[in-house]
Amino acid sequence: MKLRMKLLLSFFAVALMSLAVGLVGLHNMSKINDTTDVMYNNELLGMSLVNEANMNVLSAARAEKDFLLATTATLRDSYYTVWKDSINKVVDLLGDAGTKFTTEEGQNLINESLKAFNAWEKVSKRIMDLGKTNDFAESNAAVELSMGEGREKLNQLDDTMAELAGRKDANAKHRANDATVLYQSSVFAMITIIVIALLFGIIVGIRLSSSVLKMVGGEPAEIARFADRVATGDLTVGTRGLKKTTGIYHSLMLMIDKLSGIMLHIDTASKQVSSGSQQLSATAQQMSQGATEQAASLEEITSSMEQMSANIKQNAENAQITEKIAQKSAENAETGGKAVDQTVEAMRQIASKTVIIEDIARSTNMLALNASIEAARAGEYGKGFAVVAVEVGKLAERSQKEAGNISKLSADSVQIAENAGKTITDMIPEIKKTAALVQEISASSNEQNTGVQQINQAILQLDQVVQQNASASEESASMSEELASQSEQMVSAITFFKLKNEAVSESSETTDSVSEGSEAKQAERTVNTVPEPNVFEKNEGIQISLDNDGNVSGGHDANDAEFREF
Amino acid sequence: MDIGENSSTNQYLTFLLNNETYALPIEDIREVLTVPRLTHIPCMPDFMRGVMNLRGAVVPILDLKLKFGMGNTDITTSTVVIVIEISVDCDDSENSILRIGLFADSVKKVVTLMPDAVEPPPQFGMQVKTAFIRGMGRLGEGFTVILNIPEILSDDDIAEAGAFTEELQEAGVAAQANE
Repeated sequence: MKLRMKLLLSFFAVALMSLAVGLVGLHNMSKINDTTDVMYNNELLGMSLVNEANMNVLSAARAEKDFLLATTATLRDSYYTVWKDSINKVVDLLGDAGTKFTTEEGQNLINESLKAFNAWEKVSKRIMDLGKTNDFAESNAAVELSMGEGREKLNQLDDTMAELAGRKDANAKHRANDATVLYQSSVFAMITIIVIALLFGIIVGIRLSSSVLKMVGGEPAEIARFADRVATGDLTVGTRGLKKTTGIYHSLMLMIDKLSGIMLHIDTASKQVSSGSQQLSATAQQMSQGATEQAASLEEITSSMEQMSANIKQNAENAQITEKIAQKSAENAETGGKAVDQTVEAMRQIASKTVIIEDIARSTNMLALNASIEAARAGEYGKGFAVVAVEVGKLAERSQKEAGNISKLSADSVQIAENAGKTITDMIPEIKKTAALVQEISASSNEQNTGVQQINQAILQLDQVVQQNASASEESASMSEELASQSEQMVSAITFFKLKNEAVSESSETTDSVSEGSEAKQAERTVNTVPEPNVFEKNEGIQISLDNDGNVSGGHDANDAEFREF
Repeated sequence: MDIGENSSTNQYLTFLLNNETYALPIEDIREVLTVPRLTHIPCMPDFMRGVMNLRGAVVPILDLKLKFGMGNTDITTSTVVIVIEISVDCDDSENSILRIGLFADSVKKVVTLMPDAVEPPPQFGMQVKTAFIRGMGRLGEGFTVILNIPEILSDDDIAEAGAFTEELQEAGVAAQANE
């Protein structure tokens, strides 16, 4: 059964139901009207008649008592006529009331009341008959008043109350008439409404069904079948005649089409993500390794720096010791200079002493000469002495010569010693300068030491950073591994979808090129066929070749408009 | 004048004047002294440098270099006084001996020169007097001038010196006695 027919039938059914409801309403309304009439005619009139009968009974009873108390014959007659009227009225009223009690129980009660009334009437008749024979009652003030003014007032009250009751009665009658009028007008209105509702239901049903059909665009069962296929991951639902379809059907077809395209892209992208994340993982591991190596190198540097620090400290200590030594050397050099001065002095003294020796030698020479002269003068006798004199002269000459040598040597020595002294004196400021330089070396060694300590501190900080890097890169390695596994999961999840365009998947070893995504769309393909063996082994990453305009060179198609170019 | 006349011993004392070696026969020499304290005497020729006290005797001192026109003798440690003895024929006709000190820059030694090693003095011409040269002694490569003291000291000089010496001798004795 077609949707249109279903809808139309439904609407007709609803219209008929509303018609039935209207008819039932009408029926019930007439019933209510009847009930209102019955209520007024039977119940309210019945009650009124019974009450009036009761009042007339009481009036008859009062007339009876008045009759007995009458002082004159005219009064007695008048009371009698009243009594008689009242009795007749009661009989009439009860007869009327009897028609109003439709139930058996009510009829029984009416009959009982009639019986009781008849019994009481007989008694009252007898009382009246007996009363006729009685003497007239003596007139007195109380009776006068009771019969005169009292009676007048009481009658007045009776009339007023009777008017009240009559008014209520009239009201009730009026209401009953109103209800009847209302019923009649309502009947007309309801019939009108029912007719309008019927017409409206039919028209709206026709219009709505056509509109719903247009919105749905096809048979719901077919749509449900397509949706079920999509739900099971089959995106190969044909989109034949997409242009002609409308509404949900069109949307569903469009959705399947787009979904299919998006799934293809997601498939490609997830594979790329998978390979990329594996590369990322490898890179992160390399980074981690590098960071670990860095940390090791830093430790080496730290130990080297510590060694350097120790060396610098050693240098500083050595420099201090050297400084002390240099100062000591300066003092020693000063002492040496003084010693050299003393030596020079001593040499000079030696030189001066050689002068004495020379003097002595000269004198000896002179003596020898004189001896020679004496010997020569002594002639032959002096010859032996002459030899001695010559020898003495020779000795003197040697002494003189040696003394001269000594003198010359000491003079030379003085010169040398003076040179030495000068050298030593020249040395002192240099040694002092050396001491100062060594002090500077010591100071700079201390500075170096602090510098090295600062470097050590910096290296420690660097070490921390490197360790953080190492842990971070390890984390990123694990995360990228997770990413890889998740992307593989995604790839396997996408295999859930059966896609169109299966044909290209066989020829698409180069899925890692962006341009493939668009190409792949152009041919039939099922994603869950064979996972490309090369996708995860390629380490070159994604090859995106850009031409001069910065456009992806993989060719353009209609789907390019859906992607932004960067 | 015979060369070998007074040089029986053939011994000579050599000494230096301005680095030139001169010689004197040892017979003429009394002794050699270091330069003693000199007493300058006024009104005397320049070459008479003064007198000295030689064991109480007054000995005039003559500067040979001044006499020879070789300049003044500067007294150094090596300067010596050679005391010579000359026999003078005095007015008293007594053969008295005159002692005169001669300045020498330094004294060398006593050498023996055989007569064949002594050449006669060279002849320079008439104008040049060579009488004060007794001979030229061959010593080593060069010649040594052997001086003739009596010729050097002209008679006047000697007389003057002698007279002066005697006067001073007496005065000096008196002075010594006074001391």
